[in-house]
Amino acid sequence: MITKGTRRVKTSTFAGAGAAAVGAATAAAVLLLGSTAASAAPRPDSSAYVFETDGLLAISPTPYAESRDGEHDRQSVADVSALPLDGKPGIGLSALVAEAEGHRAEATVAEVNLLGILRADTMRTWCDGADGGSAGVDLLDADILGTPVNVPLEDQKFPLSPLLEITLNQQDRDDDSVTVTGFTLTLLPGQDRGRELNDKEKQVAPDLIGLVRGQLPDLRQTPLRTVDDLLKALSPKGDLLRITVGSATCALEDEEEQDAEPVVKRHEPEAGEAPRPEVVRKNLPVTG
Amino acid sequence: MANHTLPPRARRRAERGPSRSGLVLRAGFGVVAVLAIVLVVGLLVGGAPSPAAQQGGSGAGSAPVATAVDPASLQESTTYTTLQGTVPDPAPQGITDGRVAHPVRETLVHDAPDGTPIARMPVTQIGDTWLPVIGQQGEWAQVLLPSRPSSSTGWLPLADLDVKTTPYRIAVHLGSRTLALYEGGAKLAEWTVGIGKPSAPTPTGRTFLLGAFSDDQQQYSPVILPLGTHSPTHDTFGGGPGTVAIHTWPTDDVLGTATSDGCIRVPADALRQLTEVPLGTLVTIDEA
Repeated sequence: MITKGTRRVKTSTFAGAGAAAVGAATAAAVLLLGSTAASAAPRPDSSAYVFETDGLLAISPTPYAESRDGEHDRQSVADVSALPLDGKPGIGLSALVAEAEGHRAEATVAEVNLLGILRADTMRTWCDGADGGSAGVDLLDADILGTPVNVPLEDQKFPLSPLLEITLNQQDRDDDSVTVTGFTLTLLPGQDRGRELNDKEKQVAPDLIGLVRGQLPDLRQTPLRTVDDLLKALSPKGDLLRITVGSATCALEDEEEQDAEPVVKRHEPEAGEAPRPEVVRKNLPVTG
Repeated sequence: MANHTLPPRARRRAERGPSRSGLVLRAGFGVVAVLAIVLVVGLLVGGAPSPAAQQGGSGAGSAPVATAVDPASLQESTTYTTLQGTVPDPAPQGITDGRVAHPVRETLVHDAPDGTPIARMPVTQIGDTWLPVIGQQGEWAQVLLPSRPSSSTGWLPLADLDVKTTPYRIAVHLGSRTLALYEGGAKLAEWTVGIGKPSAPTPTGRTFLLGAFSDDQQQYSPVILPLGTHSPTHDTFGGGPGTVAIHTWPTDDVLGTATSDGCIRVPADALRQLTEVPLGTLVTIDEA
């Protein structure tokens, strides 16, 4: 729950259980179309999502919430669980909640297990566009490959392998907004593509290509000497696979906006008071 | 938003320290995991979230009084309809005591207390139906209507109404091209606004906030506040019934000008405030 302020919030939650009938079609659309949730214009005041993959496979930000004109938005998914590894889910996420209101947003998730690399009881990725913008990642009982991580530094990188890069608390700023990305796992980062693969990497590369492409490579026709060779073998377009857990973007409040005190107070109507209006979706051309 | 400082945790799984090749293999499995997640997430997410547009649901349909008129033969009183037999507003610039009425069931609009039914009033039209009460006789309330002709009124049985109060009032002054928001008689704020051009003027008289909606096909304003009045010159506009509304505009140069087709163009801050004002709130429009 976004804790700052006392505004009355309007909640629209979806927990998509029971959508099995459209699940397959949705999955296909996700694969074909990739991320579309953030494409609407104009840009929202804030937005957040919990889980996304991009690159070889694309899964749209899920769940995704955004705020326009100060409205509160909260979206949730009960859990994500997939691929047993050693009898446990290879990827497990619970209580995924994305929330945005005004210039604040946050993505929270519990019981995080990402391929045994990142584990956390809870993870909260948040930003606030007030006072020049602030952002961060709060972790509870978290570790990366067994090493506890309590308060991640900004843009804290874990160079576990030349083929695998992990970043915590990545923050990107421009004149108008601040974006924080909680956890990013990048398979085959594009840097240093000319580097020679070491022996161990050469040893596992064919199996990796087999998993991704569905068939083992012919090493006589597809030599695997460098990172670039491996990238091209995995994907002709050279795309990467990136898994993101937790992202929040907040537009910076301008001074004039900060100074504008709300003259209409948001509050729960008392007995006898007319309710605050609900903004509905409607197509009604007006005189413009 | 506070940046929580979370308690440190005891080191665990410190014995884990996989080799680089092990990590790469994990990453390879991760690709397979993502394939599985595509399906799982697709199932979980199902359809995209969408604020529920509350449209069209008529109430129980009980007629309040015995009448020779077949209620089914009567038009609904909405922004789309033009009614016969309505009563002109007896005080086009008067203010009210702030009472607003919501029909708890579909009820009939009469031309006088115990008079002739002239229309049906639905429970919802653009969200819940809320109408300003401008008079009362016994168990009957006189309300402003959302249908044409502009400034028309009708009588509703109080037994079918949930009557609340709003402390707010909106005054639009065409001469000074300003919009003022009042609470309990005190002016809270005033903004310079754009109004209708001479060939398509903003109509004078008193009306009310009929609804609050967002429309993907009208991107100039995140929220549009239609009023219960219509353009005197446009019988239709853009496929709509010529409904006059309050909304923002992509550029500020329209503020203080008479260049719209009847709508009232307001700055973003004004819209943000007015979106908090209950539906049914009185809007007076004069030449001052």
